[in-house]
Amino acid sequence: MKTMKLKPGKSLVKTASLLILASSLLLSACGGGSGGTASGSGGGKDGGEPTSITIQTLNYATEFIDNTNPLWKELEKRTNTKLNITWLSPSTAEEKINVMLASGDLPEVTFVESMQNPQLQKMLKQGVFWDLTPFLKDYPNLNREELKEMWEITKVDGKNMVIPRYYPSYGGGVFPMIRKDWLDALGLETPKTLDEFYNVLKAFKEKDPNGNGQADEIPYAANPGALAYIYNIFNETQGGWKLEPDNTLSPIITSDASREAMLWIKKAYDDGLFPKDFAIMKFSQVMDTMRSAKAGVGGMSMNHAWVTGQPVKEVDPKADLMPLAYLENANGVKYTPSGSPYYGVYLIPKKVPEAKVKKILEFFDYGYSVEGNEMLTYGLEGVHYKVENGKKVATPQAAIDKTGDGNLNNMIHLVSDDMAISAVGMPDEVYQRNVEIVTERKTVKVPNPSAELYSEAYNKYYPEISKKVEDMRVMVITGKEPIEAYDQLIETIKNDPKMAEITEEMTKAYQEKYLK
Amino acid sequence: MKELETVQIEPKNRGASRKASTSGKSKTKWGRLWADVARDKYLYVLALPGLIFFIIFKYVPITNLVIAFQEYSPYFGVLGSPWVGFEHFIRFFSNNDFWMLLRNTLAISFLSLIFFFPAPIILALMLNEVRSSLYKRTIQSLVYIPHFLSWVLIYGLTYLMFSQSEGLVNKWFMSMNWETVDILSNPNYFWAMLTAQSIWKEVGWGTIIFLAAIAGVDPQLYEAAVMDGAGRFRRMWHVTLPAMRNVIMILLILRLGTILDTGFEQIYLMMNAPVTQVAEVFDTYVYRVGIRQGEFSYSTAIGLFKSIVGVIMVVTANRLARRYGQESLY
Repeated sequence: MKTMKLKPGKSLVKTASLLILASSLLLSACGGGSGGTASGSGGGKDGGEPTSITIQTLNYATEFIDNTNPLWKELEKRTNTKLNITWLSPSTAEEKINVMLASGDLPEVTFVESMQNPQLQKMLKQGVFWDLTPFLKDYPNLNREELKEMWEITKVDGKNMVIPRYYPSYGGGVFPMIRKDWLDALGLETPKTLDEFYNVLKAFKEKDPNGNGQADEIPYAANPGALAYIYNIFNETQGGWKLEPDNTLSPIITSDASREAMLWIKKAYDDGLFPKDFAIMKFSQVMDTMRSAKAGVGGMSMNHAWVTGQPVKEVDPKADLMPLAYLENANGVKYTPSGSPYYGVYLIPKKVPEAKVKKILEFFDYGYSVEGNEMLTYGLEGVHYKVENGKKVATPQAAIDKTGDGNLNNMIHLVSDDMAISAVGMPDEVYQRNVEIVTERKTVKVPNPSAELYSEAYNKYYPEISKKVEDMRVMVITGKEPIEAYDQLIETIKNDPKMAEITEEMTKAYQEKYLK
Repeated sequence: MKELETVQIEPKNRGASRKASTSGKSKTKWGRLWADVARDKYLYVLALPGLIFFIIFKYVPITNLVIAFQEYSPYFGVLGSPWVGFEHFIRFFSNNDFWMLLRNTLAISFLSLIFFFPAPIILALMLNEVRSSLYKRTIQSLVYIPHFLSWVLIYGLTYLMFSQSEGLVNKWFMSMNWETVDILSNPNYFWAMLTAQSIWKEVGWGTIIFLAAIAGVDPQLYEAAVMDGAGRFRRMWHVTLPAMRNVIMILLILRLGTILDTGFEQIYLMMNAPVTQVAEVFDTYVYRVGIRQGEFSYSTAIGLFKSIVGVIMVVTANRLARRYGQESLY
């Protein structure tokens, strides 16, 4: 019986499948059409119907808010919009953005984490997005003094194709956060140089800073990724490239200074200054170690003095996390992390009509106005915070409506250093110390020649090359491979025509951008 | 050959019955087709959701495989992207890492074939011999549980067991004044650890289909075997195993089709710098290069290569199975 049924069925399957295929195409076509009209109808005039705007953006909060949130509603009311926001969680954002760019189905306000995203670069050249340059002058808040630099450096061929998302230059980035109470317990000074830093770590291991009589301290909670800045200290530059005196760029990955940096880390590893599982720990496990209050140093941005400092305090009430201002290498050159004054960019695809582009810019103009900007982070005065002695004190309602770090604040950051150095509930003395430290950090200028450069060869080949080197570094540090194996690998990379191509393109990109 | 014969014979009977039901109507191909549809309409309606599923989610996406031969750009789409021929394949095969990826993938796959594939069969046989049905059912339920844990959890458990600072095993070694063992970042143990994890997670779940096959065995066969003086192992060998043979063969053939799939999650989670050289497989490579760097054409080319190898393996295994007179897929 079974075989009987199959035979005539086959030709039927064909026809049936064709029918179904045709109908499914029809269906999807209808779906697309209706969606288009729905979003198109929103482009009304000021004061009229609210404009609907679809936005997709990053959100670091643990709980995402939706359009039932009072602050969201208030924002819609004040900007006369109907917001349709898709939040991306940071752990999956990169893939989602890549897939979204590949599908070509872009929201009206598209967020991309890095200007160097290869697909974005291709699309910018193909003219997928609006050139915003002619419109920008009409929006005073977008031209605020504090924002000038970010607009300037995100220009593509002299045109403003993107709305950068502000983030302060200083205060962010992975850099040592040290247990001040441990330093005090051992009577040690805050380290200023790499050598002093090393001695502090060694003291943390040997001199029982937590005073429980056991050598259970982990001097430095780190995995290989969290120590990337050590290579930057040795190479005296930010990022992966160093500017040479003849205005060319050289990759620090193959430099002799990087070899020394690796050996510095190896020595620390051999002295037991890192966790035993150093090589295999994931970022979250490093943070867990830190929060367990057993570690003396962790690598993090300055706001973690409280974000992580508070959970540590819960375990050990004496705990006090303090960011270091800078570290000096053997040549006496200071290093502190700093970056471009933005993180991530928004783009408006050409399919959005011009009237709506203006409306979207108006929305961002409000978001970057002092009033709108503070509202997105702190909420509404009297509801979410009260002003006491010139300071904003959060009310219980703030936690309920999830103001502060994350959600709406992540869509448009607060235009202030506080974005990187402050946190909800941070005590005054910690905040004041952070302000002092960030002021000190700002005196340290470390060149960052490669920050805004794009090279196709770099995107295609560099990730694989750097992964090989990073893996090899870990092998050498943990003693699984001899230093000769590392030297051999570096020699191969130096002779690799791909690496030469990358270096050439990067140099060209640098000279075109800055030396024209 | 036996199957072919039945196919040839049966249309005759059908033709007769069809004549009776469609007499007087057109004898064109389409006419007969509609007559068939009309007769079995409910069966076709029943099959419709399945058909739709396969067409929309399996067959339509296949057409997008052409991007393996393009320099795919989202802006131009599949229809407008420039063609580059076999460029992506050449880049893949001439990559220094290709042989490493192939070696790791095959090693992990074959270890799983040799050690993981037989494990549920053995467990099913053992469970079948348990007399107390309460005990048997309890054990069955317990061994299913790991299947429902995600790989992330299993990674966490493995870390808690074997890491050098927190791991229970190493803590125990330390309390005995033995040296701690580096299991998680040791290239020599990596493949064995993956296989052991897979067995731990899936062995119980894998027994279900074999136990079903065993349940279908006619008890008379066992009774006859007992009468003939067969002991436990004889019965297992001559009655239970032959009853499972068809299922084992089919699963084995299907398994060979996915020989280049090693499972992404497990390896991605367990991978760390020291073991990269033995851990990087096609799946993780596609993720790293294709998804994260946005090289969709390149990763599609790799995926296509994997699928072609899979098809070749299935067809070959099926041929071999038929040649040696075993149950085959088609």
